[in-house]
Amino acid sequence: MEINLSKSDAVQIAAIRGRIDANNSKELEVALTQTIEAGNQKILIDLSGLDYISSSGLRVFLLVAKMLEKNGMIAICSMQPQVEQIFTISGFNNIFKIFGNREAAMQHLA
Amino acid sequence: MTMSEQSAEAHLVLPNQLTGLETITQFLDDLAMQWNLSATTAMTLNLVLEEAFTNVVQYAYTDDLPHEIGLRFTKQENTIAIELSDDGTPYDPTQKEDPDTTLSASERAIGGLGIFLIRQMMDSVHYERKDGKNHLYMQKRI
Repeated sequence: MEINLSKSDAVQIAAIRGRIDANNSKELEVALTQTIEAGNQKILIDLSGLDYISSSGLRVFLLVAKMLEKNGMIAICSMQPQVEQIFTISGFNNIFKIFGNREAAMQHLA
Repeated sequence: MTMSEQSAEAHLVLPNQLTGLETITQFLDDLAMQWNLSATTAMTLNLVLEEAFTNVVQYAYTDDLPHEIGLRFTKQENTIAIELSDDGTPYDPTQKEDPDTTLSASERAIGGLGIFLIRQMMDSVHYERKDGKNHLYMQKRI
């Protein structure tokens, strides 16, 4: 897994590539919670490079959604079909705003 | 690995360590090539095995001793069957209640999705306690 953090205006972008599984989900949890605790309240997760996610990765996303529910915003963009399927089965498409591309997600967060 | 025209079998034995997930992924990559499985099927098998294996490693053992977790794959013409066996505490994951996937983020509990994903992704899942071991049988049409 690779996590690439960048900032565009007030939006913290996290582009995640590769696989999120039980071996590395803690690393993702630390990266995302640290950026929120540092004061970033608008988070865009770009999953265009993500090939695989298991329940350990979903756990991290739910944790982040809970952290941002009161005073923040989160959007996810560019999911590959097999990752989107896992989100849909788990009902995470009801929890997250999901967009086809980064531009649409940025507009939502603006 | 044994092959015949109708069916094929493969076995894997792993220690009860999460590093076994890498071995599972590698093994499935090889199996997908040999058995000509689609990328979608291979990913589904990888996911359900991660969920089942991780549950056993994290929750089945009350001691610090090394244990062996067995995986047996059987391919028939239209199905793949996987049996996962472990000598941990008796536990039937098929009895676990499904999470409510319609709830909002604040209402959703953290965790509990692994077994749900297995049940959703596979066509049949059943459990048996036999010879002092848990056996989880999972089957998928291909």
